Formats: sequence, structure tokens, C-alpha cells
Amino acid sequence: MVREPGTIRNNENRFGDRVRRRTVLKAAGTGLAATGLAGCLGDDDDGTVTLGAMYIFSGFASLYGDEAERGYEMAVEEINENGGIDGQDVEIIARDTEGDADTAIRQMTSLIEEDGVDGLFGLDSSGVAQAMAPQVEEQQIPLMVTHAATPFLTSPEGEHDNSVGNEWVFRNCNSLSIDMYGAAQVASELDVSEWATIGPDYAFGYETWDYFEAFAEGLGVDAEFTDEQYPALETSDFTPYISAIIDAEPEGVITPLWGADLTTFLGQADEAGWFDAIEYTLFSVGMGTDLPADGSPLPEGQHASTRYDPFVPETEENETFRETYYEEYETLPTYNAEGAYRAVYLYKEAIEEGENDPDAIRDTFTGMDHSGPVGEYQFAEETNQAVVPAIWGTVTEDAEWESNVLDPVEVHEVDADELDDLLADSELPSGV
Amino acid sequence: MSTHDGITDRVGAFGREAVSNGWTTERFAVLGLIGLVLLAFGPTFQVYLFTEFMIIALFALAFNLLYGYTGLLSFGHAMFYAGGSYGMAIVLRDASPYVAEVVGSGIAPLVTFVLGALAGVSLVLLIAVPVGWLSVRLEEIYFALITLAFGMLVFSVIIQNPGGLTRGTDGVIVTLGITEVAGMEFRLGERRTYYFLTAAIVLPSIYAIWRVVNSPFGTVCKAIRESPDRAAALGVDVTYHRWMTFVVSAAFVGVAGVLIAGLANVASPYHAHWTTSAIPVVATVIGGATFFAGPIVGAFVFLYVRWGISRFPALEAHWEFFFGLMLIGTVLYFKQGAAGGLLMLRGWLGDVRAAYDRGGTDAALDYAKESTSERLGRGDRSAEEEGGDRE
Repeated sequence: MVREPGTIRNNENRFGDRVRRRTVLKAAGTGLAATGLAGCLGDDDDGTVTLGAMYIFSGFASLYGDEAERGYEMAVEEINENGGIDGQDVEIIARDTEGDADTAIRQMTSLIEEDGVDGLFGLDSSGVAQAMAPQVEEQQIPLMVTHAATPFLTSPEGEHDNSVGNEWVFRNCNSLSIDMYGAAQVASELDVSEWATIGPDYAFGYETWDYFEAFAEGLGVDAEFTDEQYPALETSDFTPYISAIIDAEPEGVITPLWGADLTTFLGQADEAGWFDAIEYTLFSVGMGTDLPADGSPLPEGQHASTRYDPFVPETEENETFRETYYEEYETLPTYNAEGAYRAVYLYKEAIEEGENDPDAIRDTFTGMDHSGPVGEYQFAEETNQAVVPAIWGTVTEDAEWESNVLDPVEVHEVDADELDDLLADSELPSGV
Repeated sequence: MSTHDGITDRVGAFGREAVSNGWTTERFAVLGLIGLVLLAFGPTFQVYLFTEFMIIALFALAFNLLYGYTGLLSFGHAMFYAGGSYGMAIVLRDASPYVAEVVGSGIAPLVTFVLGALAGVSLVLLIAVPVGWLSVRLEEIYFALITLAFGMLVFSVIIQNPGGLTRGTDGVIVTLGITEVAGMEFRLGERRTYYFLTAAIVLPSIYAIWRVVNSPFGTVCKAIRESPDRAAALGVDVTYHRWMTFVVSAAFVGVAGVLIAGLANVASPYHAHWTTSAIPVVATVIGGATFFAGPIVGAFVFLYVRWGISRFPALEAHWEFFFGLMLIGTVLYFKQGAAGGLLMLRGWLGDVRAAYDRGGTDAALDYAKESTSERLGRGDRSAEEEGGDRE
């Protein structure tokens, strides 16, 4: 990662950049008429790079926004202390999407047109992200998605009925399809003849199961995929779903339950004797919930994945990030914090490599090589998806960090062509 | 010829009223329309926000037909909002190629939009007729609960993605294409075009609701609100009348739903969620249910206060807190809502002016001080008195 103080090589043409940027905005079909109104477009003039952060900051899933905020605030502090971006300070304007597409689109429009942000990042909900994709294309502004995981977001429009990917939408964390590729790898090593799932009752729950099954079949896993249970979000009583799964007697279950739902489920599953009846439970969002939760709810010995592991890879970059984060917040960083942190650095690098202009940033992001706490990776040119590994491991309590960690942890490197091959028999796009 | 002359006369009379007769309704109407046109050339985000405001205003106003005018608090009107948006979105997604084949690809996007709007409103009627028939048998909290239940039923159906129609939680993306008529090209989804389109649909809808409210039909609504028993004794079929009001109210909410789908470019399951049902309730409470314009004022406050908060990062971080404070303030001190507050303010300014006329600046200041402290000191009691005319 580029951490040296920014140079000021772009200073002399900063004004030129600004003019061009406004021209682009105007041409973006937003129908801005009088040039006199350009002043309303925001505060480029004070020599800062402004980025818009859009996360869920209120309600049931506000945890995600809070985690992301820790990540990007840390990045902003580091960058501004070390000379900023090309000598300019970076400023983040955070907006609450409320997890709702209407609100998210209003907030995004305001960020672009009122605050004149230079780029956008964030998004937790896949539904919101998919509604947003055509909008950022229309507005011609780069969007770095750091959490929403649906493969359809980076599957180019037209590839599948649900695909919404376009040249302006990027994702810097691993997607559901990468995560399920790892899950299928785990499944291929386990002696399980029957798999089941219990997931939240929305696209994320169904897609997890579809991709898990497709990858497992692609890898030649010899098992049956039987019972599916989809309790609604914010369910307080999971017992009927738990009994249904236990009665079906699968040996393995994959669950993408998250947040408070996962914690509630774990308590009730434990009481119902789940962990005696079912040999392997794979928690696909497990660590994202476990780390910020009090009391490490995930039971030891189970399999869980994460989109970023604080201990992998063992690079200086990752160690520095982990230590600084722990010092500041007294917990290990979650993947949402790391994704937001890295998004700010991605903008820094792209702006320093090219210039602060939406088209230039987009072009630099396309196929970009980057390195961050998560390791070295590249954005796939066709999809704008970061090719990062799937990380699965065994939940183990760690006394030193007073927290659950994945140990041993296995990193499954990903190859876009391989994912496509494995999914060839299904209709599903890999989005990588 | 006579009709033609009639129209000319009426336009002429309207013009005279607007220009030469002081501050008449006509003058306000003309100025309002000029304001609307000017706004279209304002900052692009303001155009967006005002478009959304008009849609929410229609949503709240249609809701208030049932609440403020008929006395039935529906907590499930989001189902009609979603009915409109999904009807529109699904037609746009699935029917576009067929429409293009029939009418040619140039004008197809516009035709599909019109068809989508009709489909949206028809779908809403299809839901509203049976749901209304079942719901209006109940009153008060029971009515609120059954509408809430129906609303969440619709939400669940959308989430289930029946027949692949609604795409579950992801919602249906709406793309308004480029229309080409007589060599002219325009994009319906373009910010300003959509703003005018929304205004052209919302303003007549508001006028239509105004006519409904001031018709014999509306008078019967108010009679039912005041006392269903007395209305029944006068020979009004209370249940039937409530049912019809329910359907009319739903239809206008459907129109708002159609428009939001085009604006947000997505028919989202949250359009059907109970939190969306709460929007017109909150807007009406803020604005004042007893005034025709109350929900409009409320929708304005609702949306613009939220926007104002979002402009300040420190406030945005805790926006729910500040929003909640505003609601508490409104409910405690302005039981008749912001619209009632505005009228009160007008009355008060009149009194201050009267005091000024009597005894100059000092008298006016004294009056202002006295009345303010009196008002703040007895906030609860006066609120009770004001609210006394209803409920």
C-alpha cells in the first residue's frame, strides 16, 4: 500500500481537473442547466478530497455502519496525518441508507449533487446495492462496495436476468460466490452425506444455498442437499426451524444467519441439542457477528468464514492494521471495518495514480492491483470484483485477544475461470 | 361556440382575479405555478427532493381522506403504495418488448409508462376492494390492526417472490427508456422531465381529492367521523360509505406508488413494509389531520427536516434523536399539527399587530412576551382544548 506522504505533482492542474469534473457531472444526465449553479455542486474549492460513505447507521443492522465507521475513520486519520491525498486532506461524509432503497438513492443523489463528492463507497444491503448500480452509472461516479455480497452486483448486466454490474460499480471484499466456493471446499473435506441450511428469509439466504450447492456439485462433493429453512429476519423463536432441521437428520448444515438473529439462534439451538445432533455447522457470516458481539457467541470447534481475517496474511501491513485497530477500539477488526478502511486507501491510490476525476478513478480501479490488510489482490477486469481469497477456519477461543478467532484457518485462493467452470452446470454467474 | 366563449370568459375572469383583485386564491395559484416552474431550474437535488415531496404529499393526503375525514386510522396503506410501484415496475420489465412491437419502439417507453401506471392503479383497486370490504367492518384500533395485518401480508407475498414476479428482497428495477416522438427525443426519467410529469399528475390528484372532500360524499365522510351512529340514523350506509372511501383513498395512494417507482427507479419491498405505512401517519400528525393541507405541510416538514439533518454530519449521526424531538414537540405543543401551528401563528401575528395599532411598539412587545410565556406555561392544557374538537 502506498503510505508515503502524497506528492503535490497534480497541484498545477488541480483547477483544470475541477472544471472537467463539473463538466462531467453536468453531462451526467442530471439536467443541470445554468453554469451559474455549478457553485451548488459542493466544496471542491477548499482543497479536500471528499468521499461519500453510505452504510446502515440506524435500526436492526446499524452494527454494520458502526463497524465500517471505525474502519474509514482510522484510514482518514492515517492519511491526513501523512500528507493526505496528493497533498489534499480527505474528508468523509457519512449518510444513513436506513437499509432502504428510496432513502439510499436520495442520500446518494444529495452526496453527489449537493456535497460534490469525488467518489462513493459502502453499502451493506445487497438489495439496496442492486438498486443503486444503475444509478451510479447514470451519475457516472465510482462506487466501491465494501460489504453487500450478492454476486449479481458484479455480474455484468445481461449475463443473467438479475445481473446489474456495470463499469462504475466495484467491490473490494469477497462476494457470496467466493465465500461459498470456500464453503464447498470445506464440504469436500468433510464426511457428510446430507447437507441442509437455515438462513434468513431473503435473497441472501437463498443465494447462499444455491451457490453452496452449485459449487459443491461442481467440486464433485458426493452429498445430498435436502432441508431448507428460512426464518424471517428478526425472528425471536427459531425452535420450529431448529426442530425441522434436527428431524431431517443432516450431518452438515450451512447457515448464513447474521447479527442478532445468529445470536438468538445459537442460544436456542444449543438448548435444543443442535450441536449433539449435527456434526458440522458452517457459519458463513459468523465471524462478522462474533467479533463485535459480547461473549463470543460462536461455539468452539465449528467452521466459520470471514471476508477478512485479522491474522491472515501474516504481513506487516495486516499486523499494523490489527494492532492499531485493537489499540483504538479494543476489539479485533471485522471485515466490514477492514473493507471500509481499504476503500479509502483505494481512492487515495487511484487519485494519486491518475487524477481526481470520476472517469480517471474508474479507469484506475479497473483491473487495479492493490494491497491492504487483506493481502495483495487484483480487481477482475470483466466484473470489477476484487479477486480475494475465501477464508474458512475453525472457531477457537483465543485468550490473548479475549475473543474467538479462526484457528486453524485455511485460505482458498480463487481463480475466476475456475469459479466459472465449477458453476457451468448451474445458471448462476460467478460475478468474479 | 358557446363553450368556447365560456372557457375564454372563465380564463379572463381568472386572470383578472389573479392580477388586479388583491391576494385572491387565483393569485396564489398563479404564483404557485410560476414557483413550480422556476424550481425546475433550481439545483438538481432540490428538483429531486421536491419531486419526492410531491409524491409523499399525495400519499399522505390520500391516507388522510380515510383518517382525518372519515376517522379510520389505516396502518397498512403501504400495501397500496407497493401495489402502485410493483404494478408499474413489472409492466415496465415484462411488457416493454410487446408494447414496442405494437406501437413502434420510438414511443414505446412512454406508452409502457402509461400502461404501467394504469396497471399499478388497477392492481391497487383489485387489492383495495376486498381488503376494504373486510376491514371497514372494524373501527379504531381494530381497524388499524387489520390493515396492518393485510399490509404485512402483502409485504410477505412480495418477499416470497411468487412466480419470479417480484424478485424478493431485491425488488424490481425500473428503467424509463428514451422516448422518441415526432423527431423529438426525451428521457422520461430525466430529473426535470420527471418533475414536471409528477407535478402534472400530483396537482390534479390533489384537486380531485379536494373535490371529493368538498362534495356531498366528503360531507358524509365527516358526518361518519363525528358520529357513525348519528350518520346511520340519518340513513347513511356507514359501512358501505367507509368502504368506498377506503377504495378511493387506496387508488390515490396507488398513483403515488406508481410515481415513486419511477423516481427511485426501483419497486422495493420496503414500499410495502409497515414502516412505509407509518410515513403518511407521521406526516399527517406533523401537519395536522383536521386541515386539508395538513398532510401536505406534514410531508414537507417530514422530508425537508430529514434532509436538513442530513446536511450536518453531527446531526446525521443521530438523526433519529432529532427527528424524535421534533415529533414530541409537535405532538405536545401543536396538537393540530404544523398547519394548525401556521394558522395559530397567523392569528397571533394579527393580535400583535392589533396591539401595535393600539399602543405602538411597547404594547406589541408586552403582548408578545405575555402571550408567549402564557402559552409555554400551559402547553398541555391548551393542547387539550385545541384537540377537543375532534377525538
